[in-house]
Amino acid sequence: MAIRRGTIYRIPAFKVANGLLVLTNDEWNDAPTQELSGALVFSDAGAGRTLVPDLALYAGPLLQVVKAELKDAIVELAPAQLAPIEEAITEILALDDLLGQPPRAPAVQPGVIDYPRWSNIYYAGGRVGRPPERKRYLVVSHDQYNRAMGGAVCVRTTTSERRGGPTLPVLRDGVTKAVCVMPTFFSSHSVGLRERPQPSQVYTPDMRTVAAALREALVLPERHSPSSP
Amino acid sequence: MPGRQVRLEETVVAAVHQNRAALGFAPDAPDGVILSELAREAIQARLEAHRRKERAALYSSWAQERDLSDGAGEAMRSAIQDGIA
Repeated sequence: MAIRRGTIYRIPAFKVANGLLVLTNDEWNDAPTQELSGALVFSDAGAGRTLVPDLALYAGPLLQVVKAELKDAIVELAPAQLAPIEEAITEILALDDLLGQPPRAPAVQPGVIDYPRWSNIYYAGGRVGRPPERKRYLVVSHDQYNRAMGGAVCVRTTTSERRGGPTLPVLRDGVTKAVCVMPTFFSSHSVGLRERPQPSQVYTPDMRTVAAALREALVLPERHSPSSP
Repeated sequence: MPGRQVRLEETVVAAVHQNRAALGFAPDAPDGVILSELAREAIQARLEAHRRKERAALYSSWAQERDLSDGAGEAMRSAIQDGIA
């Protein structure tokens, strides 16, 4: 089955969500890779969810899923139906601020920090691979969203020696690559908030690089920057 | 070379005149505006096509990346367990 960006697919393994709106670019969807990313789709409104115009559906957090789990295509969205979802994701990832001139980091949130924070790196999910280990994830959603949602959108980092490139950028340390084609939401209790990898944070120039890669990976439209000199 | 360039421009302008409406331009749109718009769009389309090829080649080289396939399904499992999906 050819998987296409902008189409909602049914995923039988889901218990709460109705399906997944695929948002990764079609070169990635066509590649012989195991996973892709998209927005979870629900039949109810809720925090962090965006109404899909003309459908009684709401798009929620980004999630990385196994391609083989995608079953029937439910509906293919028109550009006008995709636009508000793309806009919401652009805002959650603070792309306009980071890609503006000058780049601007999202606002810090005052209060107790009991959520994964923007630009920080954490171990997340269960132990995988041989030897079993938790993977490192960089938080790419802004802290207002992270606090409200009790979790964050993250991208995997890897020190694989394969070359980096569009949507898999190499960060300034020259070693770490951010896998921006698979952003995914983790709830706070699936993220190791205390035991942290090193380095545990990256800074605005790297986050700008990641923002550009996310925009390309998810084919999010460019807009005029709201940043002011 | 200049003669060849003039012939090329004449060919393009003639094609624009014949297809002005089909190309989506107003009947009184100046040739210069039409030509620069078409050139800009053609360059953008070529660059995007190049970028798509570049991405496809890169993704093929990452398809067997062990570090990524090790964790396949983990984010989805976590989301289902946590009641998100």
